[in-house]
Amino acid sequence: MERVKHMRKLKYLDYWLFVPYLILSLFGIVMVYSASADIGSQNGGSPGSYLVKQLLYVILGLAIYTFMVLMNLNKLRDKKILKYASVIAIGSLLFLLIIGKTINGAAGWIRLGPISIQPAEFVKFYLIIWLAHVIDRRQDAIAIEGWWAVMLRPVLISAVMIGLIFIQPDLGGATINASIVFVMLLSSGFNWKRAITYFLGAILVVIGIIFPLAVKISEMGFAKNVYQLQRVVAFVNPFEHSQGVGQQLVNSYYALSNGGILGVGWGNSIQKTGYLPEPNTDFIMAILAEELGLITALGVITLLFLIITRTVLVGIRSNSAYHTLICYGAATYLTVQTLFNLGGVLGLLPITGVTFPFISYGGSSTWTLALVMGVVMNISARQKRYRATH
Amino acid sequence: MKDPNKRQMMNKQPRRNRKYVGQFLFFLFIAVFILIVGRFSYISIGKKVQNVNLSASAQKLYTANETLKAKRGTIYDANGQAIAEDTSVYSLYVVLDKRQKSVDGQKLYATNKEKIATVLAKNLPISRDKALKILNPSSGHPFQVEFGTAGQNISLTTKQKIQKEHLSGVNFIQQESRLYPNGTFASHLVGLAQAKTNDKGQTTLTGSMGIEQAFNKQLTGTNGSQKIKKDMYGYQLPGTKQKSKKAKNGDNVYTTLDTRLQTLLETEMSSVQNQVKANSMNAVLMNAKTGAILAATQRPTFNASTKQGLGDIWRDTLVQDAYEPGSTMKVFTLASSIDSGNYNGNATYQSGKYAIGNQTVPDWNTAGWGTITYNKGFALSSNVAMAHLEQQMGAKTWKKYIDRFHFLKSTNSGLPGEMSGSIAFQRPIEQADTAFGQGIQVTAFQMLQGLTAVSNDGKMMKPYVISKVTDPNTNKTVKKYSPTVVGNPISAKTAKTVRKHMEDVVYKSYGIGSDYKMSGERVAVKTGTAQVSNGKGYLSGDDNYLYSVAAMVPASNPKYVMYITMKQPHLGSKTATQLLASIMKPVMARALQEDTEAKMTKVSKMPLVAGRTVTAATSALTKAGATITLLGNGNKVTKQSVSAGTTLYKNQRVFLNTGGTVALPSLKGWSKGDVVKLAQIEGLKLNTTGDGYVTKQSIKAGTTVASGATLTVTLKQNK
Repeated sequence: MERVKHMRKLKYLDYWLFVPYLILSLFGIVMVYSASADIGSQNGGSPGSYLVKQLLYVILGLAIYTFMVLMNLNKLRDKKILKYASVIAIGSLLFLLIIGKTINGAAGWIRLGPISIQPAEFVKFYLIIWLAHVIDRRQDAIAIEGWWAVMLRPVLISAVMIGLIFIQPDLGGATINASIVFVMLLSSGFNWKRAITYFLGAILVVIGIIFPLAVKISEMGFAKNVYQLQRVVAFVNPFEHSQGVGQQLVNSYYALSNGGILGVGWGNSIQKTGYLPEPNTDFIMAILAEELGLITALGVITLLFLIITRTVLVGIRSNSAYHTLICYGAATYLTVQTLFNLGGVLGLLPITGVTFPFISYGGSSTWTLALVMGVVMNISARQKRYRATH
Repeated sequence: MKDPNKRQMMNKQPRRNRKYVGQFLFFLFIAVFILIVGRFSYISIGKKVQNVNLSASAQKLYTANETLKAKRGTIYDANGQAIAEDTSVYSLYVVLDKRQKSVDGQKLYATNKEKIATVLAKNLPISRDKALKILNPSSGHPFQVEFGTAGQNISLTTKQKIQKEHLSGVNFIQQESRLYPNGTFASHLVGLAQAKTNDKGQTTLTGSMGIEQAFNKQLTGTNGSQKIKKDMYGYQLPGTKQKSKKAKNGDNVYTTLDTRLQTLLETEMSSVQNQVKANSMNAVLMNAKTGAILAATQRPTFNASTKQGLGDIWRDTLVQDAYEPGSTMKVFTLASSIDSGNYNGNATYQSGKYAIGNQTVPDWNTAGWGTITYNKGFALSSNVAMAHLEQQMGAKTWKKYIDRFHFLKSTNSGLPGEMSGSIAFQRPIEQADTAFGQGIQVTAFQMLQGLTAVSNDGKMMKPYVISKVTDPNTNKTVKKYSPTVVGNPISAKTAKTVRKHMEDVVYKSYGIGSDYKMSGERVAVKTGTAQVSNGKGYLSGDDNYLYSVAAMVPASNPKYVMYITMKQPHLGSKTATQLLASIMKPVMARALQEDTEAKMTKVSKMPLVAGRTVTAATSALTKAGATITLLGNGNKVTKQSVSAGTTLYKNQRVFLNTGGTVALPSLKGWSKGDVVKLAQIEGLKLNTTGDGYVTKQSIKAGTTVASGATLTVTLKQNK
C-alpha cells in the first residue's frame, strides 16, 4: 500500500526541480575533486580525500532528498518534533558559543566523530519549516488578535537564533537566516503593497545607508582589529591590499581572468595551487570559471536559477499557505546564499565566507539543501497530483 | 511594520497578498540573476577590474625570475696561484611541508626523518638527537627547518656526501663568499670584495678597494636568469616551459705578484712594524727592467681572510698617499745634474749650512764635514750639495727633469684614487728644497717609476701589477698588459753613473748606507730621511721623520728595484737604516735566488692522471715537478685537484684522490694556500695562526677526519 503510494508520487516528479538538482550535485563532486586535489595533498592526504568525502555527502544527501520527497509533510508539523528541533538548534548554537571555540579552534563547527556539523546550516531548514507552520496555523489568529500579538514570540525566537549565529561570528550565515525570516514574515499574508514597500525599503536601507556607512568607517582607519570591517576594506580596494585582506578577492579575479570564456581545462587551475584560499568551498565558482570558463559557470548559475524560479512558481501556485511559505523561504535561502557567495567571488559584496549551493564542498550544506529541496519537491509533486486528480 | 494587524483585518485575502509577494520575489530573483551574470561576464571577458589588467597581473604573480649567479673572477699571482677567489659554501635546510611535490609527483619533503638525522649527524657537527628534534618541531607546521650554525658554511665535498644519500626534502642554498687564502697579502693593493645588495635586492660581491675595485667591472660576471611559471610555493607548474639565460662568469685577473716574495715581504714588514709601530710603511719590490711589481705591501694593513685590522686604514698608500720623499729624491737631482752636463763630482763645496735669501739649507749633520767634493756629498746625503747642484743647473732645467721623470703626474696605474703629487717651486729656497725631497710631494709609484729610469739605463718603465685579464668562458686573454716605456728622462750613461754613486753610499768608507751590503751581489742604494710636515710646518723630534731607501740589485745591471718608506717610527735600539735593511736584504736575496731557480726549471703542464694507478700518476707528476699529496688509500687515482693541461708552477702541490678512507697527511712545511685548499676539499673548519709555512697541526697526521672537524695549524716564516 505504502509502496504503491510512493510509486504514484514518483509519477508526479517535477523534473524542472529534480534534474538541475541532480546535475548540480554530481557536477559538484567533479569540481570538488579538481579544486581540492592540491590542498588534499596538504599534510600528506591524498588528492582524492575531499572527493571521497563529498561523494559520501552527496549519496547521503540523495537519500535524505528521497526521504523528504516521499514523507508525509504533516509529520514535519508535529509539535513535539518542532519543539525538540528548536531546543537542539538553540542548544547547539549555545554550545558553540561557550565551548565550541576552545575545543574546535574554528567557530561554527561541532565535531561528531569523523564529520563536522555546522548548526547554522540546519537552522536555515528549521526556520523555514517552523515559520511556515506557525504562520499557516495561526493565519486566523493573526487576523483576530493582531499580527504582533501572534508573531512576537516566533520573531523573538528567530532573532535569538540569528543573534547566536552572528556572534560566532558568522555574518554570512546570520544574514542568510535573517533574509529567510524577513521574506517569510513579509509573506505572512498582510497587504502585498505594504509588504513590497517594506522589502524595497529594506534593500534601500542596506544599499543606501548601512553599506556606505560601513565603507566610511572602514576607511577611517580604526578597522584594523575589526574583522568584518577589514572585509569591507578588502572589498572597496582589493588591489591595494592584494598581499593582505584583499588577497582572496584579487586572486578570485585572477581565476576568472585566467579562465576567460572557455576556461583552461578541467584540473588545470593555477589559482587552486595555493594562490586562492578555500578553492573547494567559498571560491569553488572562481576555480570552476578558471578551469571550465564563463560558459560553464553561467550554465551552473542558470540551472540554479531554474530551481529558484521554479520553487517560487510552485509557491505562487500553491493553495496551502504552509507550502507557499516553505517555497518562498527555500527560494530566498538559495538566492541569498548564491548572491553572497558569488558577490564575494565577483567583488559585488564583501566576502562573507558563504558556500555555493550544491557545488561547494561540505556535508552540512549538502544535507541542508537536500532537506529543503526534498520538501519543495514533495510540495511540487503533491501539487501536480492534485491538479491531475481534480 | 508599524501596524500590520490593522491592515490584516482590513485585508481578508492573505493568500492573494502572498501571491503578489511571490511574483515580486520572482522578478527580484531574476534581477539578482541578471546582476550576477552581468558581473561574471564583465570580469571573465573584460579581464579588467578597477583599471587593473587582470591577466597581466596574474602572469606577473606566476612568473618567478631566478638569478643564476655569475662567479666573480679569480685574482692570480704571477705563477697562477689564486690570491682571491670565489668559494661556494652551502647552507642546508629540510622541507617538511607535505604539499611539496615536483611536477611529476615526486615527493620533495622529508619522508624519512630518522635517516636524515643519521646522515646529518655523520657529516655535520650536530648530534642525531638534536637533528631529530629540529626535524620534528613541537609547534606549528613550518614549511622548512634549518640547523643553525651546524647547517651553514658547508663545503662542497660535505654537500656532495650528503647528496649522495638521496634524501628527499634536503636542500642546499649556495652562499657566495670571497676567499683570500693568504690572509695578509698585499691586502690594500689586491683589495677586497664584499657582498653588497643592490636596489633590486640582489647580492653580489663588489670590490671596494685595490684591484678588486679597479677591475670590479671585469671581475664581476653577468648574472644569468631563469624564468619559470610557479605555484604559490615556488615550484614549477606542470606543462610550463622555463626560459633561461646562462650566467657569464667574471674575467680572471693575473697579477705580477710573486706569492713567495710577497709572503716574505709581509713577514719582514710585520716584524719591523712590531718593533717600531710606524705611522705608516710602504715597501715594493719591482722588476728593474719591466716595472712589474713583484711584491708590495703597506703597514698598517689587514688580514683579508679574517678582516682583522680592516678598519684601521682604507687607503692603498702606494698610490693614494703623496708625501715628501726626502733624500731618496737626490737620485733624481744627481741624475738631472749629470744628464744636463752640469755635474762636476770632484768640485768641492762647504758642507753643513747654506744660506739662500734669509733662509738656510742645513745638512742632517749641521756641523758638516768641512769642504768636500760633490761625489762625497751625495754619498753622505748632503742637502747643501743638492741645493748647489740645483742652482748650478738652474730651476728651469731642474723642473724640466722633474717633469721628465713624470713627477706631479699620475702613473695611470689604474688603481683607485691615485694621487698626482704637488710642488712648491716659487722662491729659490723652495726650488732648492725640492732638490733634496722637501717641498715636493710624490707617491711611491712615482718614485718607483722614476727609479726605473736609473735601473733600466734611461728607459723609464711604468710600474704595473696586472699582467693580463682572461675570460674563463672562452679561455682567451681579453687584455694583456706589457711592460711600457713611458719616457727616456736620462741617457743610459747617466743612469750607469748614478748607480755608481749609489754604490758609493754603501761601499765607500764615508757612505751612510753600509747596512745594506749584501753577500754575493753589489747593491746600489740611496737612503732618505725627510722631515714630516703636518701641513703648516715641519714637526720636530726624532720620531717625526720619514725614512726611506731605494735599492737596486745587482748594481751593475739591476734586476730588482726595491723602495721602502717608514713614516714616524718609534725607534728603539735599532737605527732606521738597520730596520729598513732587515726588510730589504732577505727579500732581495730571495728574489735573486728565485731568479736562478727559474732559469733551471722548465714550465710544465699538468698531465691527466685520473684513472691511472697511483704509481704511474706519481711518476708522471714527479717528472712535471709537482709535489704530490695522496688522499685516500685506494690504488687508482679517481680525481685530481688540478685539471689536465693547466700550467704547473714549480713544486705546486697537487692533490690526488684515490677513494677509500682519507687520513690527514702531515702538513709540515705546507703553505697556507695548500692547507686552505685541503681544508676545502675535506670540508674541515680551519683556524690558522701566523704566516708562512706550517710548523704545527692540531690533528695528528694519519688520523681519519670527519667533515666539519676543526683543524688548527700554526705557521711560521722559515728563512
